[in-house]
Amino acid sequence: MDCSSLSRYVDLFLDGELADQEHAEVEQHLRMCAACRDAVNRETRFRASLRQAMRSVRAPGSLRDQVIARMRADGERRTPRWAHTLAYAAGIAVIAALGYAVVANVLSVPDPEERALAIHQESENTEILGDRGRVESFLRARAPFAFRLPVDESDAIRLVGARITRLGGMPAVVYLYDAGGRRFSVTQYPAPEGWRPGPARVGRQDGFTYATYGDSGLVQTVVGDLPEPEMVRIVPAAWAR
Amino acid sequence: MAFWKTDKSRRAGERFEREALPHLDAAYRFARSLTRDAAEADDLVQEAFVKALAAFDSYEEGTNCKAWLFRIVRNTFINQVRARRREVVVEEVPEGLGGLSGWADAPAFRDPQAAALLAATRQQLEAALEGLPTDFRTAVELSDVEGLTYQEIADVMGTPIGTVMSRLYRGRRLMRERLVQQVGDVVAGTQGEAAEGGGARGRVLSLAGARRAGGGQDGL
Repeated sequence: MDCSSLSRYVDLFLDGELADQEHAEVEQHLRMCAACRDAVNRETRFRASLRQAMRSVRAPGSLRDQVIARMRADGERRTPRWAHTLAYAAGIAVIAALGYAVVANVLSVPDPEERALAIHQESENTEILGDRGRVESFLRARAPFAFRLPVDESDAIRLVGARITRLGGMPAVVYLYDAGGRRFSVTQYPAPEGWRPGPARVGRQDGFTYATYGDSGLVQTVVGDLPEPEMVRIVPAAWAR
Repeated sequence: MAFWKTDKSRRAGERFEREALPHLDAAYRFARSLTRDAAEADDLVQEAFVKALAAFDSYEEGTNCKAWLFRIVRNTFINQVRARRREVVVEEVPEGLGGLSGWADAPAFRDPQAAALLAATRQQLEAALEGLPTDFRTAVELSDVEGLTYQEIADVMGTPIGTVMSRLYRGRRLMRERLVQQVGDVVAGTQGEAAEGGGARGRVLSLAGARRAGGGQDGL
């Protein structure tokens, strides 16, 4: 391939529309010809800047909320069996909100703007209900950090769902567990600055029990209405002292 | 909170959220480009997403979900325009550039003025795209901004692939001409400098090769 035929093929080349053989021929020519290489390089950079400039246009948050709300309303209209699930959802909402309050407290997010932002972002969460396999594949695709299922399952403790959220600007994953009909949530987040690994910190707030534990990578806060001794049993052995 | 009401609708809903929702920004950009109005783009995207969810069965897994959504956005747009009895302006698209013969002078390639393009500001880039006839602009945006293949663009626009190629070719060339005009004067004095900006020389092949690989991703 020479310079003049390259100029005919350059758009197709950059658009990824050339067959393998032709693509290789263009690359071969570019390896040898500095002038064409410079021109292609310039064109590539121009396209990158165009892409970057135009991609800065994003859907407004209100539109995202509306689209999600309408999608869900549509799902409800089509299937009337809502009561049970709604109660379930409300239960999760309460526990997740409490988890948020407790964790926000633990992390002490003092900045009201940041808090408002976190709560706003809270409304754009994505979540899943399902067993361990579903939760894991969901999180593998979307969790913003290297998550790890925080609690060992047993006959008495079952993972039933998870959601991705943000706390004070930090990414977090909330896991929902079932312990013999009672629910508890575990909020997991990358260890914040100043976090010192140690034995689980157990406490009570607003009638709920919580326990916070973690290593230098991930921190978990378990929240539920279980009695304290049961709560401590949920915490993996390494942190329960 | 997302809680789908039966197993079937829940599965469809979850899959939709996973596959389609990440393209909301792109769908919005496309809607803005079609309507040229923020409020209309809002309405269009909402309606298109409701339709897309209802028709999600027809989405073929493993194909480009963004391209599938764009088709729905455009069809919805056309329906909305018809419903409002607004005149659809059909712009004259000169044919005859569909074949490779039209590539005798690839736009701005090896043109010394092309260095000026790299100095364009975001506003200038936006204005240059805005100024293109709609079909040219759509082709350029779907390819250069959204990374769709020619075939995908042809499907979205409902035209033969040759038409896509000629619109791309002409759209790119027009856009560059305008940009060079706008920016050229400003950077006339710094052109030599820009031409020497080949510090990224060694990267060119990997950059060019990565273009399509990254094309389908939305950088979310």
